[in-house]
Amino acid sequence: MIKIENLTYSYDQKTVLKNLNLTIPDGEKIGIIGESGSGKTTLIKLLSGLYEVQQGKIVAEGKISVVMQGNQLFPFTIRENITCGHEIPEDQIWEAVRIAQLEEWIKSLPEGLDTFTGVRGDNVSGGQAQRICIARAIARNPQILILDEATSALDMETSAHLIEALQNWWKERTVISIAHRKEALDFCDKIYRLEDGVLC
Amino acid sequence: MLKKLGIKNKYLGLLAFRLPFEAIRNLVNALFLKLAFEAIEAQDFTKLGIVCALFLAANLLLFTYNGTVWRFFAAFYARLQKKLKLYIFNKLLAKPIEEIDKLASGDVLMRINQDAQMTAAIYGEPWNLVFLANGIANLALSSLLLCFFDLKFYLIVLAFVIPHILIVSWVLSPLLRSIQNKLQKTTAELTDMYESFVNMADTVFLYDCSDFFLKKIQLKNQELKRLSVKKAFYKALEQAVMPLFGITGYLVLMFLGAEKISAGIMTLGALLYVFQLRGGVLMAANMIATSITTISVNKAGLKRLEDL
Repeated sequence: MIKIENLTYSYDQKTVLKNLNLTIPDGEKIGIIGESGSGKTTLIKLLSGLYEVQQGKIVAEGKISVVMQGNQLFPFTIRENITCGHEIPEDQIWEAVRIAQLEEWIKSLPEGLDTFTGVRGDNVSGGQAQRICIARAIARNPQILILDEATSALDMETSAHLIEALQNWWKERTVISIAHRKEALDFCDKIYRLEDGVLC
Repeated sequence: MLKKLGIKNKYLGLLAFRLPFEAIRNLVNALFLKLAFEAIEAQDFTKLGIVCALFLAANLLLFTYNGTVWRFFAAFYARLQKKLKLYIFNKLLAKPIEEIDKLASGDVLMRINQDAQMTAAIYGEPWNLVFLANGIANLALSSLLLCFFDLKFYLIVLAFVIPHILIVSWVLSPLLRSIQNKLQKTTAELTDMYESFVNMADTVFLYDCSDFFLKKIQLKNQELKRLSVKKAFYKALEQAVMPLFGITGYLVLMFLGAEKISAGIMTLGALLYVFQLRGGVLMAANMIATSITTISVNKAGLKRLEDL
């Protein structure tokens, strides 16, 4: 469960989040939409512990995986990008790869999971890079998954396949997904709008 | 490329002017040593004075000539760089927008700066086409003079020059080129690792992989160190080959010359003349080998421009 109580956050003398209250029960999928600069990414950074809470309280039970927006690929192999150097069983890696819709592509590569993603990720496309980041989040086996514009680089078809594959995996898990457009959050139980730091 | 830019004939003219400099300078030095030492042996100080004055005048003329030609070359080189950059701009602008979109901004900048620089260097910088042409002219003249003077001496010079050139250009230069490419690739990967570590600090923190990341950086640093040591080793070998062949060849010529001098069939001045011509052959061979290597490296830029 995630519980946010009276959360207020400011920087540069500007209040980004104003007295936020939200309770997300285990297994619930919620979506948050909002304009650029409305505080979505700040909320994610607070939830994942990257930013320290200034005022109010956040309680999140369980391991959290976050898929940040943009290319977050390390200049390592696909396997190292997924495991991040942690001991993860091979079948768990392949399960993550399957869900992230990468299995067919990786099997077609001569070096498979040990393919180098390139300097600045230039050996893979934007969509492939994003799906490797999703596989990284899944392989960690988290209780809470946070997606920040995580499918923005995918075409409609791949995105639909990915969500379909994720449905089964995240049945028991809590998901917070952030997007600009409401249509990208069809799978969510509830959708909130973040406007000027206020959830509505 | 020069033909495309419409400056081929001008370049060939400049090259022809620059061509005889090294060969004539070497000939002037050789003749000076021969005549000066013959004058000293004969204790003819009037002849020595005339030889020295002629040597001074010849050098003054030669260096004035060379400086004038290089001045025109410098102006040509600046114009060439400008024309090349303009050529790249026009080529890029003529491309469909889809193709330009595919090029990373870094790639475009690299083409405009690096490729233009590499291509211009082939035509205008030392140790490229100019030195190659000069080396060939110098080698031809020095070889011809040495052959006419004494074929045996010439063959001895060649016996030491050829293995030297072959070892450097067939063994050491390819090894150095390959290690240089690996060094560049590893340096780029290491820089990318540092950049990623800083730019993706959030993700590194979230996935608790800073130790793993630092270990990878450490390994890449060790790889870079190993490659640098290897490069230094090959460089040292390259530098060791030169004195090894050079000094041995020199000693053989000296003993042979000493024998001829003591037999009264050669003067000290003539031996020094031979040494100077030998120096010309060595210098020319070195100019040719190094210029070929530099041109082959710079040709990568020229090829990218021609593929544009």
